[in-house]
Amino acid sequence: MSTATPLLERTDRLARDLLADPDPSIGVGPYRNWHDMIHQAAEAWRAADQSPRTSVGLDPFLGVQAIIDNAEQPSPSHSASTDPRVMALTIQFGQLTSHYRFKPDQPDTTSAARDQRVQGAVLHAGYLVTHAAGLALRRELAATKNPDLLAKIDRALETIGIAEQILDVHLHRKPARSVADQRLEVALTRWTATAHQVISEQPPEPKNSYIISDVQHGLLAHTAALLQTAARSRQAGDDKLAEQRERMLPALLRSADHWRQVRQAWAGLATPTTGISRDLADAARILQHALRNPELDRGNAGHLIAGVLGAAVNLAQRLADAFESDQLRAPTDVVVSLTQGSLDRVPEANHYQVWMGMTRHEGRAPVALPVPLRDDFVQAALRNVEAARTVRSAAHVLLGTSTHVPPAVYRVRSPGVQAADRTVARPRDSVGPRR
Amino acid sequence: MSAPHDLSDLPAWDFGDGQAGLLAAARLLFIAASEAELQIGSRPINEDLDQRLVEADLKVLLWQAVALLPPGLRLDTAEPNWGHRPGQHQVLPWGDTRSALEAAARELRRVALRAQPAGTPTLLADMTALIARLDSLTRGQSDGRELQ
Repeated sequence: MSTATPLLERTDRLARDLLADPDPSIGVGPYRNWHDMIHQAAEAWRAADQSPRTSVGLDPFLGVQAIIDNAEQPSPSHSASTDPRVMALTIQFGQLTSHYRFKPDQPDTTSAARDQRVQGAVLHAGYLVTHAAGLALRRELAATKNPDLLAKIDRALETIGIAEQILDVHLHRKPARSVADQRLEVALTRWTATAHQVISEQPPEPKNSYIISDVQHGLLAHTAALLQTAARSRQAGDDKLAEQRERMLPALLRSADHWRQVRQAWAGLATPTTGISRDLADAARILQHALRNPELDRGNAGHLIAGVLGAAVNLAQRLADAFESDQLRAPTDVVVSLTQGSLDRVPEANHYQVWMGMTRHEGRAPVALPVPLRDDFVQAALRNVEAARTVRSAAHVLLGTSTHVPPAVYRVRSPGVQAADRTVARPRDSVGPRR
Repeated sequence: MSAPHDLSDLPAWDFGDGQAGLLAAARLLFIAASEAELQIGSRPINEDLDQRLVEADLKVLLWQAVALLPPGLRLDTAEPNWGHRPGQHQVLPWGDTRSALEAAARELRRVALRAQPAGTPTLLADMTALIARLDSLTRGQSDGRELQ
């Protein structure tokens, strides 16, 4: 027996206990340590992989960490109480990391299967604690009357919800059946992490924000295409498929419209010059290639995309924050032109004050955005956040179950197959069900 | 507007032949991607899947090329910004996308790949793959095949 087993057993017990037996007296206690716990869980997950690393592999915690690194630190409570069980779990994960980093198992006990079991246990514990932290926040939300606190808890709940969705996707994913599936998993995780990292940089670079908006818009198009392909092969009376389409497609179309508006807003501010993030360009390229791969298992793709659609809410919010950044600048002639457009839509605005507030009125030198223009962009970005939330909610229908049954939307009933649906992996440009 | 391959407005600093070819290619891709976005960008996402994929591929190529160049080089001398407000460009037929890609590939091939920034061979390979996909798409259309 591996000496890590007692550590894993205790970790699992603590996580289950936290979920099954919450302590209401400490309010959002589980959430207060949640950030540290996730970072330690991520380290333990990585340390458990004893195989030689030849390239960037799949890392479910990468996206979660990118999101929480950008999130406001936890303080949505008057009390500073923490849940000792989350602290104990954090310590357990730390010990697990030390165990694998400094006392790796002997070669005869090391195997890919063992790595997967350990990583699965860590992922599961991380998921349970995340769920428990979300429940604690919901209890606090129901109890509090303070409007300032309500907004903070709402935002914390959103972060937790997105993290939960990402961990859920990885916990319940089918084992990748092909290289194409593995590449998509890695590409989606890499995209989420890179986009969050780039969007947090100051000052915001409009060209990078444009790329992020454009790729997110493209992901919605890919999801719509997957649904549409399934619809062509739809059988009469397939109520589940009909429900999935009815929930997803309107949300996708509406959200795409808002992502497009945000994309155009960033495009309007970006100078037509070189100077974009190399990491972002690489991540976009790898994702595009992975999504285009004809060998892709569409059921698995839909499941994985659901996680990214969840993370999109956070990205949309970060883009709204970027519009509000004091450091955001754009060429003067562009700002003047766009501001004129904003003022034309609001005749009652004090034009004199707006124009006098600008440090210059011509040329290409970068200037800050006047308030009316900034407000226009922020409002558009916040509408995008709302639309992204609707997609995130609807995207749950794309998630598989813990028994790894692919959602009905990606299963096609072949004329010759009576007993059950079968999952079909086929080239992107093939038409109708495979015969 | 100067032609994309007219590099007379390049900055004074030392600029290798490889980077010059890459910038010329980036300028061509910028125009092609702008045109593609104009044609497809405002349509609902569940329509025109094939054209949408080509548009996405073009943009990825553009970002690849731009990321390989030093910051601050102009991609388009006529536009005030990266965005493309309707009416500022003439909408070109899809055939011109292919011509733009071929011209961009030619710019990259002018100089030995070893003299170009790392990543250029991958860009060229991706460019060639997109040209092949465009050809395949065109053949499909002429055969009357349903594209989606």
